[in-house]
Amino acid sequence: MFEALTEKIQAALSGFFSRGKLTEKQIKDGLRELKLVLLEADVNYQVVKEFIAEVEGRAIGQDVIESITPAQQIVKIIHDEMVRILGSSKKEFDSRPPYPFLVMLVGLQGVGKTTAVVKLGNFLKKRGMKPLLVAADLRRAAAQEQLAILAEECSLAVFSEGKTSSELIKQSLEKARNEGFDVVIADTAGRLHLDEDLMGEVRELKEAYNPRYTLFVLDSMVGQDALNQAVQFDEKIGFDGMILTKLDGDARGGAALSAVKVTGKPIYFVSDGERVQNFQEFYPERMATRILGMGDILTLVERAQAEMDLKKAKEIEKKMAKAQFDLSDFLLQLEELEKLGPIGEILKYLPGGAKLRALPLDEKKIKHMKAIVQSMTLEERKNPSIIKGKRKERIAKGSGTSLLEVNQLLRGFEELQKIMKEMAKGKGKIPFLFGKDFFK
Amino acid sequence: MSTLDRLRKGLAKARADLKQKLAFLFKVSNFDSLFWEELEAKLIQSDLGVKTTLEIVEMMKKNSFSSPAEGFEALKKALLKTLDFPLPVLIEKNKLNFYLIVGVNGTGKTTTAIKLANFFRHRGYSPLLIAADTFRAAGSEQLEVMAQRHSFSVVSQRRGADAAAVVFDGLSKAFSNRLEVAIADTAGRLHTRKDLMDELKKIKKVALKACPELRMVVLLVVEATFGLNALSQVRVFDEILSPNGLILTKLDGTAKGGFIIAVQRELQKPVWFVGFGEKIEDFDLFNKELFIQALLS
Repeated sequence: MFEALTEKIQAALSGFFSRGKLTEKQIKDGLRELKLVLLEADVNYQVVKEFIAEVEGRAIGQDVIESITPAQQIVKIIHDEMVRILGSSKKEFDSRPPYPFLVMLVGLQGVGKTTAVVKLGNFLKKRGMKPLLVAADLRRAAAQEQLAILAEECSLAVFSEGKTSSELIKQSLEKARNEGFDVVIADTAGRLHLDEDLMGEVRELKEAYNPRYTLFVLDSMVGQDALNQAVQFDEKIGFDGMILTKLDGDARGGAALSAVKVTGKPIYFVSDGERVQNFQEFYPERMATRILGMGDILTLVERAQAEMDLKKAKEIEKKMAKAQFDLSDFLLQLEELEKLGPIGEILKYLPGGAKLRALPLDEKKIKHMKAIVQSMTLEERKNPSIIKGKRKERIAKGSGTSLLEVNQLLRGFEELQKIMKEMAKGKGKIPFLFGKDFFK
Repeated sequence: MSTLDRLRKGLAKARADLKQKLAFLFKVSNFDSLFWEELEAKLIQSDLGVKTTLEIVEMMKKNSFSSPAEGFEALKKALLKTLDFPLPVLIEKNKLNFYLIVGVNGTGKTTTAIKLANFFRHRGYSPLLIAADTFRAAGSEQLEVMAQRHSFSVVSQRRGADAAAVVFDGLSKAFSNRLEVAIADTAGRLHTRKDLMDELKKIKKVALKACPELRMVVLLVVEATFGLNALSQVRVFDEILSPNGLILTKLDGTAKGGFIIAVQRELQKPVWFVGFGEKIEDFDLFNKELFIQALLS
């Protein structure tokens, strides 16, 4: 659905092969694309503005690392900065004694509080703790039943006797002390941040029972309003951290960046599925990547930097620039590609990788491609147009492949050369990877 | 208190910070570059999305307005135009009108089902509720409890039952009782879950089998707090179920559901109803004037 940020920024940047320091124009052009990407990911407008200003400050004057493009460089700076913000307040969830301690979940209606209570309970149980869940949502019909059923499914204890939320929490803490529970996790009714009465009610609970953690549950599908919600819950109740829910959908989750940036509170956990186990600690890296919509391309860039034979890459790049790229160079690239690791894994890192995985490209295919090129004479590699019927048959036989595969490779190479020529004109793609059209 | 008053009251709460709102911009500004930037910011902050916002700003720039007030009216008119849907046909007479309520998790489908039943009761019908959320723990209990509170009849089965079977049961009962309205609540499902989306297709098929004379209305529930992911939701639900329209819930918060405009840019998907509070009466037919007023105010 979304093009990768790198591609967008790349398209926006002129002068693919420029080297040296990042120019101001490159940064400005890159950041304009970034603004659109962030807004489309539902990051709050104000937050986007601040974020861009910060990135700009960091990017100006930076040297472009050899072997990656200015676009990739800018993306890396952006990504690092976002990870920094998302993770700056990251703390370990403190589950050490004294026991029992109280965790209280708060948030708007429908964000997934009840489910999160059970998931957190299960998570802490896996850590060897003994949690007690409290069904303190007395407003929504059957909310207590919902919690009880979910809890039973993963053998968690639930407390639900009491006429008010306060009574429920008080008595559950008592029960926890008497029966050796380590942590009490309280579900609360969903409420609107504008509802002063209900917000006051939670604040009172917080003041009365002093939870170790009051966690604000945020739905990752929320848009610009995430900022309002987070600010108001933090001002009116005061929370210690957040749980981000429904990440199994396709929301980019810009809400997370808005909420962290504006409250300075960390996200502790994310929830990403219907099953109780779909609950993890929060990783700023993954979230940044998701918001930017780019797959783990940076991991790939880093790996490529580490693995690629830079000298060879430079030579290839030079040939590409002059459009002299022939099948011998192609063979070299195939070898470099192999070095990066299993193809499936590489594709995983690429934006739109899921789509690419459907293409007939795997280790076996690459081996075949290598074999085909290796079965050609040097003359043929330099000048593939001379490869006609008889030669094709010989190559197919020599490589243990079929005529069809030889034809596919030749056709694909022709396309690749076209792409290379375009790249040489400056509308390029990542130099060490083939244009993805090649594999169609 | 009339629905309108309640809606206005709800909106008033949200309107406390006037300076944040769009109309304010037009009161104090001239059409300088700062104005256009502010307009862009405010439209985006209302979840209209980048593309829609840029189109609107471009369109506004092309016109030369003599006064901010004139510009404001033009903006209002342009937004209203995007919401020009034909009036929905709520009931086809002498038929069983089956409302199937669908949507992602947590948008307020169950509450909406009850509110919709109440809406039809006030128009003289006796709607039957069908608890087809057999997936969420206590999902059907929630509907049962609420239905009981407001004395509606409900058809339900145990948790884990086949949702389509519950619908079949419900519709058979509604048909034999010659009812004109039946409303089914379904389990929330993310549009990215193909298996769960297919289940909805099955419900639709089974419903038509239960009574061939059925008039089916599929309504997709989206909540006002959503951002542009709502577009993806509408798109996917439309592909699989082609819902007749949308129900926009949670309009009593600070979010005003601006993505509705962005949705129209891509797909014509009329909004049939709005929900704006926890009470059963906090529900009404969609009114585009009020919606735009709230969006701009």
